[in-house]
Parts: sequence; C-alpha cells; structure tokens
Amino acid sequence: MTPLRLALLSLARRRTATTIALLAIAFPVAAGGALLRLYRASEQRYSSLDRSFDAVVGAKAGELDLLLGALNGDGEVVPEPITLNLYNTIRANAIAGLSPPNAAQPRFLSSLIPITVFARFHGRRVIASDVSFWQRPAPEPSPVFISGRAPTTTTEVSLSEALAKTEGLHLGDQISVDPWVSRSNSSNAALAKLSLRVVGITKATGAFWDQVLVADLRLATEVLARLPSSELHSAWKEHITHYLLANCLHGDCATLKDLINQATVAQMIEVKPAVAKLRRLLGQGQRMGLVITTMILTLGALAVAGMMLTRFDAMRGQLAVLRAIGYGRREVALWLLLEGLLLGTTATLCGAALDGASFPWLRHLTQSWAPTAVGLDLPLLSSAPVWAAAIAATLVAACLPLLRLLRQDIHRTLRS
Amino acid sequence: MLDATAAAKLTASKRSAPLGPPSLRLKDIRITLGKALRLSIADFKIAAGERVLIHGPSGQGKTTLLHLLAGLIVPDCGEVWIGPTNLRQLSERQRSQLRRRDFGIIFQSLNLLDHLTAVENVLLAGGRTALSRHAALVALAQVDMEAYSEDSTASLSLGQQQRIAAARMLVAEPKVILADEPTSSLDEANVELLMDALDAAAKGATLVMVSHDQRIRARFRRVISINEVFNR
Repeated sequence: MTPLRLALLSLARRRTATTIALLAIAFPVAAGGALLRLYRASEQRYSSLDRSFDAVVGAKAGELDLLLGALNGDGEVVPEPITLNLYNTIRANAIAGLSPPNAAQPRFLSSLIPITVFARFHGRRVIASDVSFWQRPAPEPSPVFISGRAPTTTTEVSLSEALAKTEGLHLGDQISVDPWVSRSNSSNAALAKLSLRVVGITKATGAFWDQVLVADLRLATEVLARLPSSELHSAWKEHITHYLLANCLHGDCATLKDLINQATVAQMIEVKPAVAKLRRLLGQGQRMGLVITTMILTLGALAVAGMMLTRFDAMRGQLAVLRAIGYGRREVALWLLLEGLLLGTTATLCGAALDGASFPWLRHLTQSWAPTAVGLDLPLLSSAPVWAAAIAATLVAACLPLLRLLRQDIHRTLRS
Repeated sequence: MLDATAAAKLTASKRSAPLGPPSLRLKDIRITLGKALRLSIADFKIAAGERVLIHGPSGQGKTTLLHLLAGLIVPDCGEVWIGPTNLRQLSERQRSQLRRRDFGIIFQSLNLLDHLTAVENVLLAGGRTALSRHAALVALAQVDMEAYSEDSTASLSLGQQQRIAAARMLVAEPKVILADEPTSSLDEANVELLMDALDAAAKGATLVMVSHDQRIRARFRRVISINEVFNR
C-alpha cells in the first residue's frame, strides 16, 4: 500500500478528527486571508493616492478627510463645497504664465485644478473639471488619451482604460449617470438620470483617477443648479466646486497656505506631510492586522501540530507494527507528510472559499479603515501568501511527529 | 552502513529469493536493554525450515529474541545471520526491505492499523508493491475471516485481529515466521484456527514462536526454554 493511499485512508476513516483539523486550519486561513486583503486594501490607499499635487484646497474639515476624499475618493461623503469664485480668483492672479506679465503680485502656483463631484455611475464618482485638468504645465503629468479626447460639452464624459475595461465601455458608448451630491448617500431621486457619451479613454495611471469618470465643469454647474437648495446646502448656490488641486512654484506652498488659511473660509493642506501623517496613523492598525494574522495562523498551526502529535501518539504502536513488517522509515514519514499536505491543502481550499464568502461582510465591518470597495482591485488570489503559509505550517506541524518517528524505538514500542 | 560484502550478500540473497527457507543464527551477541539489563547469546542456531517454540516466563527476553532475529534491535556486538546475510551489516533500510520480503511477523497485540479494514490490513503486506485484492481475500478465507473483509479492524475481537494478522503473513509467503505470543489471549477454538493458519504459512518457512501457552506445544518438534538461549 502506497504512502499516499495510507494518508488518504487515514484522513477519510477518521472523519471527526479530520473535520476538526480542517476547521482548525480553514478558519485561520479565512481570517488571515481576509485580514491580509484588508491590509492590502488599506495599502491601496497609498498606492492609488495621487501624489503629483503639492496641495489640496477645500472646505475646513479634518486634514486626513480632505486628503483621502480629494485624492483617493474615499468614503461616501465628498468634501464640503467651496465657492467657485475662489478658484477663479486664485487662477487669475496666482498662476504663473496666465496672468498679465506686468501684474504686481508675484505668482506662486504652477497649476490649479477644480474638482466637482456631481454624479455617480455604478457607485463610482463622476467628477467635473475644466481644461486645467487635461492640460497641466510641464513637467506635471497630464492625462494621456489612448483614444478620443477630453469632454468639451455638457453631454460628454471620459474615463480611464482600466474603468472602460471593467465596465465594458468603448468610445462612443452612451452611459446613464445618477446626479448625486455628498450630503445624500443615495442618488437624488428628484433629478433625472443624465445621458453622457464616452468621448475619450485615457491611459491608466494606477491612481484614484482610474476609478472616476470626468466631465466638463459646466455640466456639474448645470446639474447642481437643478438641485433643491435643501440638498445643496451652499451659500453660493450652484457656483461651487468641492476642492482644488494645486501645484506650487518650486514646491513652496507657503504663500497659498497663508492666503487660503488666513484670508478665506477654506483650508489648504500640503499633501506630503498629510500623507506622512496618514501613514503614521494607519500604519499601527495595519501592523496590528498583520500581527493578528500571523498570530491566528500560528494558533491554527499549533492546533494542527497538537492534533498531529496526538494522532501520532495514538498510532505509535501501529506505526511500529508497520515498520516491523517492512515499511521503511522513509515510507512512514512520507505517509505522515502526505497526510499533512492533503489536510493542509484541503483546509486551505475551504478557508479560501470562506474568505471569499465573508470578505464583503468583513469589509463592511471595517468601515473607514479601508477604502471603499468600489474600484478596489482585491482578487481572492491576493490571499495566496496566507494559503502558502497555512500549507507550510501544516507541513511543519506534520514534521513534529516525524521527529518522534526518527527517535522511535520499535522494540520498546512493540513491547509496551 | 552496508559494506561491499554485505551488499553483495544481500543482492545475492535477493537473487536467491525463490530458494527455500533460511537458517537463523545468533552468535556472540551482547545486548544492553535499559540501564542495567544485559543479555548475551553465545551461539543459537535454528535450522532452515525448522519449527521452534521458545517458552518461558514473562520478562525473560522472548520478545527481545524475536526482535533480534527480525533486525528490530541491533545488538551491541555479535552476528545475526538470516541465511547468508548478517543483519548487523545491513542498513536500517535494507533490514526493512529484508523484513518485507522474507519475514512474516505476528505480535501479541497491536497487529493491525485500526483505521483500515481487514482486507486493507492484509494488503499492507505488499508494501508499495500492489498485491491483488483477490490474493488478500483468499488469505482471509484461509483463516476464516473472509466475511469480515470490509469491517474496520477496530471493531473486531483480539482473536479475529490475530487471524487477520496471520492472513497478512500468509499472503506475503514469508521464508521466516516470527510469532510473539500469538495465542495468549485466544480461546481454544481460535487457538486452533490461528495455529492451523500458521502451520499453513510455515510450510516452506522457518518458524520461531515464543509462547508460554501449553496448548500449542504438541505442534512443535523443538521446544526450548528462553533461559537456554540467553546467558545472563
């Protein structure tokens, strides 16, 4: 009888013990896999955070809320609106190259981009901006079109190739979007859906922008004008934008900061320090998540090791008989290892299935700890390191009886 | 490690596998068991095809003697000859191969793997070489256990387990049979059944049985006391 058959029979005939062992591994695998994916989701905050801007200008709010809401599209609530006049004024007076050459005030910005969130498409944000979004001064990276062009009318929209692929959209497709502002978590039922035509597809950047659709700023103004004032909550009516993205000349944003923070009701945050703060704050949670994942897996492995040792102790006599009738140490060891491998692999598959089924629920539980599920690229395969660790741990657990096997005195065992 | 001579002898003995049963010999054996117990054997021989019953009280070394012959214990010094092969010169792996190929062993208890069925336990005799299920069933029939072939051995009585162990030995057609108190907990009828099975297997084999069971003495021509084997 081959070691593989012995292993299969041993697992199949000891159903209760095998089931308990399967659960002892499957649950840690599921929990570990889900935690790892949540960790990665949290990491995606950093990886998809567009760091090509020096500063964000928005309504007064928490620094991190503004950073994540503006540069990563986090959460269901977008930053409070600010007046569009602020954008127009700063743009006219502070951007180098745009102002009259004889202007007395020194220029301190290289670019300023307004972003207004006004609709949703399949849970994703539809934002609006103007030409400054598409044509940024060198060396700043402007969006690159792989087909089509930027939207120029109020019936057009563009999106990234990543989103086009996910949604199965092509140039010229007509899509229907729901008007939406941040205060209402659901779409505004009072407003009819908007029909927009895809006129441009941009190259994927790996940043938050890959997950949004971009329309012309005038369309956002039109949509906001139709919203009831009770929902808009804006003293400036429809003449608003949600935040401004700025790049400062020579990276020095001190002038902008003074201007915004001291002379307006808005606030400016510098991206780099805010990202550092975010990483500092979330890093501990992430590390804790990893530690918990490791602990859970270790506990699972210890449970399996304990079970394997108990099983080995219960079978010592039988293994000795097997050795006595001519099975070599290597064959018996192979049996135990294969038993561990089969157990580990089956349990890992069960754990992976459990992980896949429970992840949406766990993601919901974490609330703001991880970014919104929409746009997250977290396939079940991202839990693969946990699976590999679980199988390896089971094999290591199976090796503990092997050490005893190596030291087993057949003569004494049979006599006892 | 196996030296060249021993390897050559093992190879030669493999080639000569179809030949008859081997003689057994223990010569100048010294063995230490635990901290204090030291046993020695000057020269103990069993002729090829001989049937020997070794009796004696418990704890006098009967099982130790069988384990020496099976290569399960390596003595401190001396020679254990199975036909032309000196076990002391074989590696552990080679001793395992020899046991699988030439030996049939029945223990007093702990004979079977309790998560396997009766027929699967018999099939263990083949090692990695697949034995036919038919041959295993025939062997079970020889010990009147065919009806239990698919039963888990954990649910069988000790006597039934001993008969399955005998079937496992029968199917392997061993040249050396070592039986350690196989009848100690069996009733009269089961003793007869088991001994009939052993007799069948022992045709063409060298049989060494250790037992203090008086009921089986008549079946052996050579009956010796364990105290005649060991010097203490």
